[in-house]
Amino acid sequence: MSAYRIGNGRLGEAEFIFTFDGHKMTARAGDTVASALLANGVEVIGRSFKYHRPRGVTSSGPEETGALVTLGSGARLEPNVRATMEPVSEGLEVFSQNCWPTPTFDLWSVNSLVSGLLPGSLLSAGFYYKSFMWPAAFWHRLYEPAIRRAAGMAKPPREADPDLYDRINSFCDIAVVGGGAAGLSAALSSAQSGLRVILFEENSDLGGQLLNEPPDAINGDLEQWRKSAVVSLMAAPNVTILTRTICWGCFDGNTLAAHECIDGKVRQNYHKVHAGKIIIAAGAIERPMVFANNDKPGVMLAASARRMLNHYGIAAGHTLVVFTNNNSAYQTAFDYRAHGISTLVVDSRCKPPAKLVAACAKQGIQLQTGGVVIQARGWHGVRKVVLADLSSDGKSMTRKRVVACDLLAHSGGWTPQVQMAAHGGMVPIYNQKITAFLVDKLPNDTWSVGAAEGENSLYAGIQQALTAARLACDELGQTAGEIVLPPRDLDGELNIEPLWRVPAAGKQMVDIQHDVTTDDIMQAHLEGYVSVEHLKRYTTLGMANDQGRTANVNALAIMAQCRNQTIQDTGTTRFRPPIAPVTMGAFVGRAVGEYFQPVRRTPMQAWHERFGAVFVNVGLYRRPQYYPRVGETLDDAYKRETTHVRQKVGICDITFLGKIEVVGPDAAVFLDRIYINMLSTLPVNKARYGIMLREDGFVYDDGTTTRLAEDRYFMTTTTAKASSVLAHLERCLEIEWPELKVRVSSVSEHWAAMSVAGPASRNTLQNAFEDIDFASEALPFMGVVHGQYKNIILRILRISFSGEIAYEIYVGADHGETIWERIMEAGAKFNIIPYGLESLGALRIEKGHVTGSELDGRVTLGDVNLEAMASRKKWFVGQNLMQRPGLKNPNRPRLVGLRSVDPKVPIATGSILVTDANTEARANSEGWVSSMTYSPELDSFIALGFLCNGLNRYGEVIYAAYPVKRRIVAVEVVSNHFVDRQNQRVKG
Amino acid sequence: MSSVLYEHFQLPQIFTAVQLDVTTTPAMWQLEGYTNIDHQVQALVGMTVPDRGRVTKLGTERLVWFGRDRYFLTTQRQDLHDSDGLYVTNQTYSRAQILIEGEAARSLLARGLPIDVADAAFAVSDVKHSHINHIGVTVIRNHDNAGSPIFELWVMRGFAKSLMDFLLRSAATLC
Repeated sequence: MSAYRIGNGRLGEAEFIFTFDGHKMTARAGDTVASALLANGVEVIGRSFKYHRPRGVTSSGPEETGALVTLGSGARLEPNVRATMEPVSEGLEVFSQNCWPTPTFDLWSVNSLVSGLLPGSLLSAGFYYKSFMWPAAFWHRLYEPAIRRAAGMAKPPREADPDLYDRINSFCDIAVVGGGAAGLSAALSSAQSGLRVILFEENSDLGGQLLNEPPDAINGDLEQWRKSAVVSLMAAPNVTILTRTICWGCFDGNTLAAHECIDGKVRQNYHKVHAGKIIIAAGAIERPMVFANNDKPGVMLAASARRMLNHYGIAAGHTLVVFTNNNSAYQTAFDYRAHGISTLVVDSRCKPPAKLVAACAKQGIQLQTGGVVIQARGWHGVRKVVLADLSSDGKSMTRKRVVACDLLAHSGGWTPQVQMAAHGGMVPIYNQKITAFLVDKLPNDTWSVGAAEGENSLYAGIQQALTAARLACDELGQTAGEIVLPPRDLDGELNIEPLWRVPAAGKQMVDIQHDVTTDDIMQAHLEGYVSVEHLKRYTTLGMANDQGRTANVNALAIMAQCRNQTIQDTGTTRFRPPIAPVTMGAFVGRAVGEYFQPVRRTPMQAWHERFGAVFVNVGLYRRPQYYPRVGETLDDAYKRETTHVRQKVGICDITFLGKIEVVGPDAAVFLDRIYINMLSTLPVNKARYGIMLREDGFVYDDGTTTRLAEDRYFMTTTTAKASSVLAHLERCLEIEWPELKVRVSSVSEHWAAMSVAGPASRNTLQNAFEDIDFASEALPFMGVVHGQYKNIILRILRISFSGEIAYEIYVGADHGETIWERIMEAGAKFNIIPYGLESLGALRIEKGHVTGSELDGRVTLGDVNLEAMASRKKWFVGQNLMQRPGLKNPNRPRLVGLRSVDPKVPIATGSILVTDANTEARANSEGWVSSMTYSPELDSFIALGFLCNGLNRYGEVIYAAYPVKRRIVAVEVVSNHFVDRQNQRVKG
Repeated sequence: MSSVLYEHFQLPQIFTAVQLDVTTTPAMWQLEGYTNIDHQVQALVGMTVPDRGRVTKLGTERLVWFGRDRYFLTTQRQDLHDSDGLYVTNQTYSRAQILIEGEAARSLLARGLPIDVADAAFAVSDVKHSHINHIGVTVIRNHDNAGSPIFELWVMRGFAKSLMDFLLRSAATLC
């Protein structure tokens, strides 16, 4: 193929520079990379996936199988771009791919040569599976890296993507997918109803197949209609036109997913489209003929060669052979001939329509009927084709001869784009007339029109579109408008006589992008991969970025021939979104880097940051883990903080706790059902620790609940369960006990919360808030008071998680930092420090308190030694199923304390508890370690864990085994209450 | 309502066709009950109870529908108390209020908000609960300003900075 610019087509005359493999080239405004490369005489654009065969431009649209290029460089490098879909811009860098050193001289093309010497074996389907089996040690060390280097499609960038992407929710009454004649008509008619219409078109220009028509004076009538339609739509305030936007998925609720390329401040948009009605006018894709070397540069789909000529002003060759089995390709022959290009039509049909025969004769086009192209020949591109006469039964050929040409335009029929219609799970049905699949029953609110529905005639397709628009508008309570029809019809009659493959030898590509040949399909059949789903996965057919748009029907037909069954019985693979490549960035949107997920801040977050806290992610919070001093490690810091709290006083941000208000006259009854213990007997201004179970009898969550009034409670939950506990409460009220007069609501965000713990906590708070009496008589253990500091209302609970005398202070969030700083200021004389999550963990483990590490959804009340808390005077959620024998089994692992026999040896969380240090760990596992810490008070590593019959094994020495790291530690089983077993400190 | 956003941003921030700002009101109260509470609410606040998905306004006070038998009152009043089956919970600091105004306000909201805020679908004084960029929001449409729509987002205080970051970054690349 030696393409050249023959006119302007629809392009502007302004020229600019781009580069291909570093060579400067010119392009015109409106050119795609493909058309610009053709205009510059570039024939070989890259090499194929597996065999490294030369590849050029095969189409003019999204079905492109050959011209895949890499754009840009550095972090903005983008591989595997279809050159037919990418507009050229000034300075654009375009690179060939899958070749070294150049597309025309590629050393890896040895694959193709070797494969040619050993046809049917080397590199065919299943080659890798069968060839690289031994020795197993080579799989990941040699075979996989070597094959990955040799195969694959281009190289992705190593750098992070610097571009921005947006995720946009779009709403419309009617979504029209496809901007061809049918789509334009549907949008025009719908728009006149006043309803909101969005029109999606994957190409830069609207018009679809109308863009194949010559825009010249003779044929300008259709062009005028196209332009007029576009202008009308652009002027309509209720119409949004999204070009370069591929609708790639259709989902429940009339939701469409679309991907828009805009190349502005934001590079691409991912539209989630919520439509009232959907009109699919996605058109049809021309199918290739299957003959030897049909992937060679210079072999193009006929309609695409025509678009190159009429839209881009490029003659894709000097001597044209058209190979077809239907009427549509004749238009390509006529248009090229009209430009004085030598043209031969090879029609596999014996009797094409007389009017086409006459037109060929009139225009001086040679026509060979009942003939086929057996093979394309040429080193890099087509230079000759081998023709033959096809026998009447289509199984043999005679009279082979060679004809010179540099452009072979072929058409094996048209495949309606049914993917979107089929995404609803609809099964496509094979249609004999058009030799392709159609979706018989569309989802609700969806219509398929025009070529997408198998209707190739212009007027008939438009009529379908208008009918769909009318019905859609009617159903939305509006009236669709009339439109002016194009000045003339375009005959879409194909008179197709299928020829699924030319019955000859050679590399007949079916899936050109993935180098899948007819031999591969036949081999799959012989090896038993006869289901189309297996065929797809065994050969990788249809799995490249064109998603088999050109390949699938031919492949199914060839498999049907192999199986001696109908194409309908052979069936299709299931259509799944996306139907076209979507940049990962578009899915991700703005959620990258530091914005990967929202961050939830506490009212004291800024203070923690100023004070140099090291943070740890807990859910969406970044909790202070510790507050290091100069030179301190994590271990140094948390040991210091833990010791300090035990000896003096510390303050900790506990805003992270879930906070729920429970109100209503039945609030007490409700909480009695939710918690295992009684809350109805709780006096006003007192707090009580409570545990709730799931319906299946396992522990769900724990926390303290405060009674603020007879009919108002203030509940705290663990951080992790804050939202799920609220949902649990709401579900119980809505579904289980709708008769209860109770409301629950989250107040987590209203309150800042902080814990002040340690022997000097009372003095610290008394010093901070002089008007509040912190004496035990006024505020005993589990008591609650309300007070004020400079008109700021405080809620103070005397409860302890650390085991020391401690208080929880709740204050309106905007005042959180003020109160925190006040406590720090007042506590300075008592040497107060802030302490973080790590220290909080150490304190609670020393005290033997459980948290999420222990309450992991698998433990019962008995397992955590709290069965005595369960009330016997009332029913509560989980009570019935906690009685199951398995949950009452006395041999269940029970919560115990574990202390390193050698106090300097840490115990790994997650270790398995075993009794024999020499036994394979999993053979006699008797429990596990749930959490561990270093205890400054005991000067030893300690842990909490669950051990079978653990309460009767205090004093026994067992082993905590961590097989992954081959570690085993001798531990003594002790009570889980390491410090202050009498619970005196909290009451001090 | 929470003034947390003033700690982090210079406001208002003005872009080509959209402006982002924050507003605060002295108090926000959650009013709720377990059965039809319209009369109690009306008696307490002296204002017509809004229909589902609507906001009513009287002077500087607003009553916002927040679910079945649940309303949020924004007001100057600092002390409201439970009465006659009506439960009043202080939520003053629980949420920050973000104002989005301008011709591109809808375009900005579309970048994350999965609800239709077109004129016909979301009228003045409508309210809906939804999310933006995984952050829960309550969206209120205020009265237009000289033809430009104004939307008010209520966002939980802890997430307010993240949401504002997201909105500002999106607004900066709108045009």
